[in-house]
Amino acid sequence: MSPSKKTAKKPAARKLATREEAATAVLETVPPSPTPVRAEPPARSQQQEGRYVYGIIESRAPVQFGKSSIGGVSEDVYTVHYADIAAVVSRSPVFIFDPTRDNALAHEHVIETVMKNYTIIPMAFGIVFRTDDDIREVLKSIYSSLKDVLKQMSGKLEFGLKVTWDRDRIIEELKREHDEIHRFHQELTRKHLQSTYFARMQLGRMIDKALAELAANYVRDIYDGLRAVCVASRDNKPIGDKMIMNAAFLIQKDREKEFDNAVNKVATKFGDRLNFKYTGPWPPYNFVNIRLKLERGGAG
Amino acid sequence: MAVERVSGGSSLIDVLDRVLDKGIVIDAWVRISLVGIDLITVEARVVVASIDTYLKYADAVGLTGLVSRPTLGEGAAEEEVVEVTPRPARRRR
Repeated sequence: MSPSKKTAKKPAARKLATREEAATAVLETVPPSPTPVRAEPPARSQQQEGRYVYGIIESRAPVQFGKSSIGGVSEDVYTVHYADIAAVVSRSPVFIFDPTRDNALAHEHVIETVMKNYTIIPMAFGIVFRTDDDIREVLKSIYSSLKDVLKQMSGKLEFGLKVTWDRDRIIEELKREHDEIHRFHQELTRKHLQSTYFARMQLGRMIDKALAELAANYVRDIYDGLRAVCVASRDNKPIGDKMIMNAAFLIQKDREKEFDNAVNKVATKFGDRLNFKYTGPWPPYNFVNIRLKLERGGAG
Repeated sequence: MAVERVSGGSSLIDVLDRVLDKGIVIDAWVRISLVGIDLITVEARVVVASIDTYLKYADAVGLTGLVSRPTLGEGAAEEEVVEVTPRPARRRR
């Protein structure tokens, strides 16, 4: 049919025109980018290409770690080297990333992939460098610190342990079983009408004190049960009033099973009084604190 | 017995609790001011402000208390204005 013939011809003509336009555009582009521009959505190609950094590992040879989806775009994860250490990076716009669910998990996912075969010193979320050379420059300037930390963290994993209790239930127990509180509570209940605001305040304080003591004892017992199987531990502030322990443990990789058993053993001991939630393996976030700052260098 | 074990990445709160301010941190204030500007090719270089590894046991609660993060550089950062004058990016091979 003639109409189809017509339409078949048109695209070819259009294609030619586009190619000519493209050629002109290239000629006008100055200066040519040193790195080949990769196929990207138009909005992103306007932005400078940077490097999102996930962490530092020990390696002389280049390594690929699959893909990262930080910023919602799938990019290769590769390494940038200085001597025998390397930064694990992916291409990214120079941009302040929001720690959204997707971004935070993308960051963590890359680190988990790397951890399968390497000791990684994790970078905090959202650090973007402009070029590979900039990264090498940083690796060079903090090389000895990184080497030292990599050595200390070699073959170790972090686990998080959060222990919670049913606070209301424990309070009821205290009212029944804690001698002093029981007596005081009975008294208050019996003379209900005469009970004063002050007396109630006093009961509240007694309960708080008893809860704190009980929690401290429990936490001490938990640490005692885990100390033998961990390299180190850190006590973070519990979140909310149900949590009595928010700890991180550094474990020798080959003792993970032992640690797992120890956690279960301790949890069994407390029956249903305490809930244990433990997470990991993590890279040693809680055991490494490297703060970098910028210092004005000499004019180069 | 109530033990719940989950792998790291499956708990968003635990992820955020770690990735936001732990590990290798570049001073946030400086970082924000640097966006869009060459990090190193500007007249600034990255130095280690502090480095700690916590290879200790948390002993009985209340004895060691919380290991507070060093606030090094926090106060200083507000006064110290690192000027980041953009200049034509150096072409390096």
